[in-house]
Amino acid sequence: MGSLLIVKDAGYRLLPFRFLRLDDVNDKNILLTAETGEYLLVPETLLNQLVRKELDVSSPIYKDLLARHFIYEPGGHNPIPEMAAQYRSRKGFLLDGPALHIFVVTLRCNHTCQYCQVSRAPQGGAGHDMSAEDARHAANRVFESPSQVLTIEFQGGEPLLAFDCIRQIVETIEAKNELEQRSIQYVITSTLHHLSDTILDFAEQHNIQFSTSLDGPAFLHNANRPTPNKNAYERTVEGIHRVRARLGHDAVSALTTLTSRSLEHPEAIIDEYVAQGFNSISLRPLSPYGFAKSSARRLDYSMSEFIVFYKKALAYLISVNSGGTFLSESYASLLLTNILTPFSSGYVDLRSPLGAGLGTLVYNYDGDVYPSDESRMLLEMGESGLKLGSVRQPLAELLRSPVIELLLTCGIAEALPGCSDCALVPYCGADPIEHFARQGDPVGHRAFSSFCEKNMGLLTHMFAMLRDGDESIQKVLMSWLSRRSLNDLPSAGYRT
Amino acid sequence: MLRLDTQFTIKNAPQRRLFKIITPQELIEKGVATCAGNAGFEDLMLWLDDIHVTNQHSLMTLPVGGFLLAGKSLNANHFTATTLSTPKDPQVVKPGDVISVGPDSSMVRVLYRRGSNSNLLFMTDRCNSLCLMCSQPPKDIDDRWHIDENLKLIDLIDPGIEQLGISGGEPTLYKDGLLAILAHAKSVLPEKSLHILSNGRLLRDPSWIEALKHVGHKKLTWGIPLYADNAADHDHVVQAPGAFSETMAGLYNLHRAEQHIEIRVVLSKLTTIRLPELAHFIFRNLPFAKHIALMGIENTGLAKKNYKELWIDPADYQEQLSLAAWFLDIRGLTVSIYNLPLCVLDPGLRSFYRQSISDWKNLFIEACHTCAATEFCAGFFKSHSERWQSRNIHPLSREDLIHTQGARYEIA
Repeated sequence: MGSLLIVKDAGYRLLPFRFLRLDDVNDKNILLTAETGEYLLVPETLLNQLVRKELDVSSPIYKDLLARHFIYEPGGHNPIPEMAAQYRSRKGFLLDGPALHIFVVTLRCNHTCQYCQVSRAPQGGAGHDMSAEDARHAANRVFESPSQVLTIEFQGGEPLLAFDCIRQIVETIEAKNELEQRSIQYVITSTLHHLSDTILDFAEQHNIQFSTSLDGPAFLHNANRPTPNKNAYERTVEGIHRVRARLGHDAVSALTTLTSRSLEHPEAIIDEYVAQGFNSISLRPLSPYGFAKSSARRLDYSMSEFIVFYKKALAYLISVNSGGTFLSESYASLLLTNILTPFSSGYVDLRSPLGAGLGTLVYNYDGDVYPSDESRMLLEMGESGLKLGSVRQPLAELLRSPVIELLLTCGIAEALPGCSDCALVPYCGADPIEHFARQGDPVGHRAFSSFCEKNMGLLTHMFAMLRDGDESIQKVLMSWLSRRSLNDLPSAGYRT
Repeated sequence: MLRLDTQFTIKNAPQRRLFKIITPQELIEKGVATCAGNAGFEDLMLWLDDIHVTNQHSLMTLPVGGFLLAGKSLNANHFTATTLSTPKDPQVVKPGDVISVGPDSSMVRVLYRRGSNSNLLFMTDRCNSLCLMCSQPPKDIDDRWHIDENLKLIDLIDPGIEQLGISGGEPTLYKDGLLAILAHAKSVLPEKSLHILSNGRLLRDPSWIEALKHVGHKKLTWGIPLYADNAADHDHVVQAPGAFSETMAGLYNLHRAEQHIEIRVVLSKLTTIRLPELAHFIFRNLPFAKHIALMGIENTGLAKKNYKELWIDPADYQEQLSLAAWFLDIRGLTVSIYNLPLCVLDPGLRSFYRQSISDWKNLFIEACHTCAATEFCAGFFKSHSERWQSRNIHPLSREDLIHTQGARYEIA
């Protein structure tokens, strides 16, 4: 044992890296990850040689380890400038400030979904819409962010029930943007049941996109989303057609909410997305917020059940893509960007430091400001502790709120217990709000964290696919990474 | 292939200077405005052909700096003006070109050729590296005179949008001269894009950042070679210890100065063995690179001496080339493949292929006579020889072209 502790006079020194045993099915079962997200899959014997300074310095793997900043040669090339450049690429989102601004224009909704992540008020209910004055203040906050690229998202409730409020906000922002000249994208998250020609005219005029929920074929969607006439599916699909006919095929995207019933039908859900001509699908587990938490017993499922479902769905999706239909899974595409590029996808839930507050702000219907959609969902559950302040306060003041300080102290994955040693941390994020919701503690314990279970499960699955998948699987994954048709990818290129 | 120099009979050339060649017609229509920058009549050299024989005498009273007598029946006698006659190769110098003429030699060099794809501001023969495959081995001389020559050349070339190269040797060795040339090109030729070939090593000095920002040339690209993903291999190719670290530092400074960056890789036995790994290194560490050029080797200069260490049949690196090119392309970096004959290229790589060899140094060989693709092919360098020839050289048929390349080539 003692001999292992003797530092040999090898020509190289170690740089900070982490490692993880992926599985025992393959010779290259150890994942090495460097601080900035470079990685190598190696046999366990190599890991031992590496740390014992026994590497063969004339081997190709020695050059790989040098080039990917796992080791360096004292007195030789200094890799720090490259590592600094990589760090800047990966954390570049920090320089931009909040880019996603969510306006909750109303809580009113015509649906009575049991799993609703938000909360809702009856369709004709009063006092649940954003006031014109608060809307004007919120529009001012948007431009106090340094971000030159902004997304303005309208949520509810069903935001189209408060279309006048949407119109006022868009017009206020457009007027201010004549001077500001930022790049702004508007998105309305809606069931599309309340579309009208007036709304479509306005959307066309201001280049507004729609995001809707489509849970699968009619039997699943209607069971998940009860409406008085039991025709939620038919009305949403009709809305999708209307938006496309007017604004173009890609003006509407869809998200899937998965109930335990959904988990039995991965292929039917995917087939529905193919039939409706979507080019991306988002297979998300139920969030622990809103009504979803209180009705957990009837609707919820364990994260391990979700992961089994997700792997099955992903395998089917890949076969659908190999057959010539482009349909990417959004979360897989985000993970691929985090793994295969020096950049972060920028996705709010996979950021470290966290995305809530730093990347996203939510302006609630009552004029309160929250760091994320999820934290206002907590409010509807009776937790008001995560409020940043009011839309009447300047952004700088909102971002100095004690809530932001608390979130930041628990929101840097590289410094969290359980994450700091994890080989997957360069590709993952910190989500103190989810840990607060599920465990009552913004730091949380990884062993009981479904956020951790999900991302560990999906990231290791992705690494195993990148290692073991044949050329046709690689090509599908590369087509998702590059958002290009398989026909444009005669080769998947070098597999790192 | 058209040479860039030829011999003339030269009269009245007391000192070396540049001339813009101009026809009487263009002189009447544009005068000195045919030049992009400040020029006087003394900078113009009038091009006289056989059709001007009857009024040669009166034309030669025009107050221009010189006369080029392209017609055989013209008389070369003029009292003071520089006069060129009886060119060895009459194709080399043409109207619109800028030439250099001096008392020390009957050789006239073309510094700017009207309409060419490869005009170059040549900065120096000196270099701080000694690459194994260098096509123009450096000379240890003081040749600062190139700076003034290039400043004058910029004044005399045509306005217009064609690209202008800046090369050497290592152009950054004359820092102030290079910066002056960039600033002058920006003011005189704002519409021309510039492409500088540099090893980037001296750019590790951070004072370049402010200097380049101050010049603020918006259409300037730096072509910087990188030959390996590790210092030992790169430094060996360029025969300069520490060069890898210096070039990387230079690349980061260029990025800080908001410059456009192209990475160039000359393909040899030494650089193709880890080409996919190099592509990975570039993407991870230099993702801001606008263009990656993967280039066949030019078999001249030091390359000939280092044949054994450098030569690999391109047929034997097509797989590495394909892995590297697609890796970069999928990740959004623009890739070009230069300087390879089309018939040795993996057909799956043709979308990256560019017909690239400068027009003054490419040629075709006997095997090309029946090939349907020469019009799209870079061909060979003029220095081509048999031991640098791939075993896969073969004529392509029209069918090969149509089936493997799609509509772009069907016009053949």
